[in-house]
Amino acid sequence: MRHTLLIALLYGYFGGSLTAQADSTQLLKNINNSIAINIGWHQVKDENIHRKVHEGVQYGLAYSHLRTPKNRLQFSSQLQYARLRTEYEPTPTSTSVQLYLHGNYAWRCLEAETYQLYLGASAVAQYRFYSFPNWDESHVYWADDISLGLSSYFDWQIADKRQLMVTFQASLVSLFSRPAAYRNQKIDDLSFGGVLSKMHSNWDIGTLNKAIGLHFKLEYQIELSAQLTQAFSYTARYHRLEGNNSAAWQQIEHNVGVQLYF
Amino acid sequence: MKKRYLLLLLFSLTACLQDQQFSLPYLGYTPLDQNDNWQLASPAAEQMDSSLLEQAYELVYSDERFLMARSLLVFRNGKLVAEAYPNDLDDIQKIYPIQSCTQSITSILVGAALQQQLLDSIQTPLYDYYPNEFDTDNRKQTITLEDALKMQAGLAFDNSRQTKVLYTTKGSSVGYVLQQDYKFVAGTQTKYNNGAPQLVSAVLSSQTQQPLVDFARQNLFTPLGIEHWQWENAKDGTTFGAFGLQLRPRDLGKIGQLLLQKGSWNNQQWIDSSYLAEATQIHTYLPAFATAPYGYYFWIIPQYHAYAMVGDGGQFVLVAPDQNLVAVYTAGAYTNPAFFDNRMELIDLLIKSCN
Repeated sequence: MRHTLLIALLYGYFGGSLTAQADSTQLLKNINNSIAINIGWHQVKDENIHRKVHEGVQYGLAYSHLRTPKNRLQFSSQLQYARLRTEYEPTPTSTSVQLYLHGNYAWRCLEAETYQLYLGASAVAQYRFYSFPNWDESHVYWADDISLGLSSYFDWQIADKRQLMVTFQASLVSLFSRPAAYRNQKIDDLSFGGVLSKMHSNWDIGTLNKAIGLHFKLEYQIELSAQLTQAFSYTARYHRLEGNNSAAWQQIEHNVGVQLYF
Repeated sequence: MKKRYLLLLLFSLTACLQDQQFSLPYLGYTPLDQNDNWQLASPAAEQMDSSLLEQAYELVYSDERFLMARSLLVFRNGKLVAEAYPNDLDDIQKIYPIQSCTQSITSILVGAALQQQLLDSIQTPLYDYYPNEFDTDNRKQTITLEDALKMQAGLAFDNSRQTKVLYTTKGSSVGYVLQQDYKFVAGTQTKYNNGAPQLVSAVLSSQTQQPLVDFARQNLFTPLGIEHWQWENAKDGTTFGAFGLQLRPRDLGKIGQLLLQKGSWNNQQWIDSSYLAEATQIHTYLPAFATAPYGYYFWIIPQYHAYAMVGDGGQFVLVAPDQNLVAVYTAGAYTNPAFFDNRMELIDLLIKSCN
């Protein structure tokens, strides 16, 4: 309930002062693709194991395709890898591999000389695989979700050829898959096919009471040429899933990255 | 607008997950009547030192070395005197994997087969039970049932690599164990492994003409009134002898009490008492576990004239005949031993709590 209220407040807060403004320029109007590398801090707490946080350094690669003639259409994919440890482990032994696929469509709702605001919808598919050999060497852990939600982009031209972009996305309804808290078999099928099958099992559906996904990104863009823009970014993501027969899972990621739009 | 986004940035920059207490707040250890035939008693009524018991329960509730703890139950004089489920109160009703404690149940069922004269002797070579499972290495034909019970079959079965293959093999699980290299003369070297109990399970299946799981139902679980349990079979239908059994904690207590009563339950002898006496004596030492004294799939605690079933996660069922004591500790089962192997600290407290 508290999370629902928070998201409602955030949207009300950012959407509440929309007024018509004059036309403006944007850095990415002639650009359709971007690639990025990032590094960050990853924390995950899977209560199917225990209530302690696994954390560690995360590395990632991302690719986006976007079109911004007036409204904003974007498809993006991201692969993240992290080695994790709890406070009990001297070295990281757990692993996290994540694949994010995002699609967004947002309408330009607000324009001024130096900024634009887009509001729209997003569809997200997220696959997350974990291995916790010190805690459970025999079972697969995962947290997958396919979510529909809201998205917003705020572009602010702070100087000639310099722009800040703020992105905020929140899921509203999710179809998600998590392992059951109590598993009847000693060892999961750890073959590729077995893991893939597991990661598409035990589905649940829920709104904010069961599934929360929040995504915040701040990007500083520097236009190098009409066809090339460089950006430095900070991203924060929070997700929480809790199924009918699985305990709560939460994850926070903080990433900084370098991005090239072309 | 811009200030608002800056606020959101500050909010997100400071977001992080926090470790939580791993168990419920301390709720004590007074058992509740569940109408399951366990008679309840207070520690004082059974001459137990409550302060030492409390120390044991404080460990499982709040000491981080026991963060995977799921239950601790203490039975004295056949009565349940203390009980707690520090992770989730509903664990009282849940079956949970007891891991390698399963091996001790397999050993108990050898005693049940001996009691019913379905087995003649544990000195019989395994080759006599299932000759078709053996490969061409004739030396393996000398391995006896007792060798398998002492983890001295001489086969190069490595748990870290071969347990998963044993679990997933579509062929004969016994054949898979027996095809491992014959590294030592049977009966001379002890190597703790999950292959040997599979050989024992197959002997029991062969002699009782049914999977071990069915023999266990008829000759152990049903007589003890244990209704909620599950035991996995290999893909060839042979019940896993080393792992795969799930039980409720109170039902594990019944197994311990059966051992304390030398195989007798409700005035009927279900397990051969002379076999149990042998199984709970020191026959070897486990080199991989600080030369721990070992019987026939029982871990021996000579300083207390006691013994235990032991499984991953630090789980144990302690049987201390001198104190007329049984204790059950269950825990999240798969952790690295470096994080859980503290059972002797609990066992010391529990045994010393008996006046």
